[in-house]
Amino acid sequence: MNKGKIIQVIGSVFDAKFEPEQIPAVYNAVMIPGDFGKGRTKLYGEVQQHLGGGRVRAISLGSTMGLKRGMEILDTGSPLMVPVGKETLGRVFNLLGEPIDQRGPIQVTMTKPIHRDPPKLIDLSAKTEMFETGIKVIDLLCPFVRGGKTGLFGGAGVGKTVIIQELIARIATKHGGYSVFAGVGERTREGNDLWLEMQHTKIGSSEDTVLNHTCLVFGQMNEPPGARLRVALTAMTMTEYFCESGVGDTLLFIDNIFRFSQAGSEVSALLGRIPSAVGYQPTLATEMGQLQERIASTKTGSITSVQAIYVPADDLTDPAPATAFTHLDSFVVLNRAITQKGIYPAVDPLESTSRLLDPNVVGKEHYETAQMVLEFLQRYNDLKDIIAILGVDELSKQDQTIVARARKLERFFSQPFFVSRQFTGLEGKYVERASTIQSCKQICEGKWDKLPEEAFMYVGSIEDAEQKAATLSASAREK
Amino acid sequence: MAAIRQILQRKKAANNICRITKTMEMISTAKFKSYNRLWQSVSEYHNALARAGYLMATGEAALTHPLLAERIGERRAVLAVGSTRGLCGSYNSEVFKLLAVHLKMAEAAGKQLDIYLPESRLQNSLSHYGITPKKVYTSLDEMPTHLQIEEIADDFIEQYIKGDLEQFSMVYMHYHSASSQQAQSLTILPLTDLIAELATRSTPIWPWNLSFDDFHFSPPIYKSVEALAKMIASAWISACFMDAALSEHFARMVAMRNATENADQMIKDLTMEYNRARQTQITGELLDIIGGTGALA
Repeated sequence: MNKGKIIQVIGSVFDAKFEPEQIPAVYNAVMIPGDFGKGRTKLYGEVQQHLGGGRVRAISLGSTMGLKRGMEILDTGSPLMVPVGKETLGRVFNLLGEPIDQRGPIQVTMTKPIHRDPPKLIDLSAKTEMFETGIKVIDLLCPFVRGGKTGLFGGAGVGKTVIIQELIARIATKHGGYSVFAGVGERTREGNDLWLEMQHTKIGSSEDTVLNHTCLVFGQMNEPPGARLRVALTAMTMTEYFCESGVGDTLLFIDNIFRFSQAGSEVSALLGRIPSAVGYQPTLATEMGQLQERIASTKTGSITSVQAIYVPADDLTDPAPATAFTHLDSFVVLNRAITQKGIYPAVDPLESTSRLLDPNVVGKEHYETAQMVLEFLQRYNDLKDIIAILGVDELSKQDQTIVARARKLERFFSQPFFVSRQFTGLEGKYVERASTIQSCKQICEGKWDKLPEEAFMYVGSIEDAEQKAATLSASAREK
Repeated sequence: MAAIRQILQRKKAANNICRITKTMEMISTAKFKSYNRLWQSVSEYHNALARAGYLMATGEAALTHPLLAERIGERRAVLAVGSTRGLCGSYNSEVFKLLAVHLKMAEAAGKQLDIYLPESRLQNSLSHYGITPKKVYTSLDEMPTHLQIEEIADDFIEQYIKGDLEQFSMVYMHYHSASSQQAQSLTILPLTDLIAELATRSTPIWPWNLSFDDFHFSPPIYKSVEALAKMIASAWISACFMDAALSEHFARMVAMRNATENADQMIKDLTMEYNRARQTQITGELLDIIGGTGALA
């Protein structure tokens, strides 16, 4: 193993000097043995640049606390290797592939490097099949693609993480294959919640818990940028193995892909790159592309991924979410204005869309209903300013009807979630796609004009709304 | 960038609306003032006629005239007054609501209800519910002339005398005062109903202590009763039109004042949003430049 010495430490980036003919290759993992406190005896880094004269610049994959000039550094001879295989199921890892759930060391037969090329063009499979979630607004307007990528866009506190956890509860519990969850730079508490939740939840009617079919990889907010930058790749590597070993469809949940870009921008300047637009790294698109292209469905197996994407300052044109946009099949955009109305999930029906929303894939009725719903909502949106200034009375009767129905649709798109039961006190509702389509179609056609708007809040199918209207009027009469 | 352009566009639209609403408010204020003057001067005449009618109806010598007699028939008629232009708040919808009540009542009583309208926004509401008015007066102004009113009155009086009509009422926005307007219906025919309804109103001072027999009529009352009845009917039809016009302009005045205020508020908010967006963009650009030069140095 080639040895070198640390010659400079700047934040989470350090330089090391090797013998000029023994320098580690770019992306190779380097290891620094030593005492870093709190029982840490090793620190990993990843080589990013060769500076000449045997000097290399590397980003640290852990905290650089305790790192000193002159420490010895070893080249591991390969990129970071992480354990893969069925043994990883039910366990929680950090980005180095070390278990962090205190259930003992892990014995695996195989480890894989976290860096690799995306699947080749000819190996990709081109299937388009819908993936039902049972969430009305998603199934109707931005249906998920099996073996495709979905992004959940939203600013701070609009409910991205809740939706991702809900999707895990809805999909993973019915899903036959394996799931991988990557926690990238989000709250550590949420990771803990998820882990506990998964230990309890059973898959379907079997005795197997969701955790037994899932592997979790965390590099949360507390970690240095290097860790947040590479944790997604660790999760990706584990997912790829499942996909290639032919166990069928594998689910990959990433919360939150923006933190990956953010971590990249944190180390970018330290690596001496000139900042690009809005201070992001000039390599933003490249980094995102390298990760996203690996999330692909091949002939041997498919990866269905759901990624939460934080939108800084609610601005979708910010370079980080904008770069993620291009890779996705289905966009679920969450809107703050909708959360302010108390409607959850706060999916913006006009911004969200899906590649799948095509009459040849989802069927003519679904497509036409979706278009009709969008037309109503778009018209309502256009009229909003006029209503704000002149009042509803100035609208023509036709427009008044459209506004009334659009407001009902808007409320109908709220839905009780399984994971938020303890907060809302409402049982989660799974609504079949056919029922959603029928309900929305009937609302647009005016079959439910008589029901009050409140009746559409947090119900499942339209029959539930009818029932709620009855209880509402009964309780009003009592008063 | 796109967002900034959108904000500007919305601001422009709000500005245009604001300009219109401001002008309409001024016009309506002027019109309201002139109608108000007219209303004050004419209402004394209307009240005097109502008093005369009251005396006539409560006189000891019972008068018999077909216009005073109640009638049981199959058909009722309603003349509903709305506004030709919008932008007057809930004015038209309130009149329409009352009209709908009349329709329901007629249906419940098993009668046919014919709707007569001057040209107005009520037509849209009616056609939305698939109701065709019996007749639309196309040549009426918001304040019809005396001759036009007389023509309308004569038409209904003739129908009533012929026995085609059980009841004829006006549906309009009643103007109590500047603080209170209300959609109201007033039965014109049979005239006894009109007099009874007017007698329950507090506006005129009723001659409780006078008796019809205290007056001497020339020509004798049985000869002039028809002319008087016609006068009362057309006078109160015209009073309804006047109330409607007054209420309409008042409603528009209020609605437009609110709209102008709303638009002003929106312009203020949008200006702030625009300035913030613009400043953010400038800050971003500056940061990019400073960051770039910093990195190069």
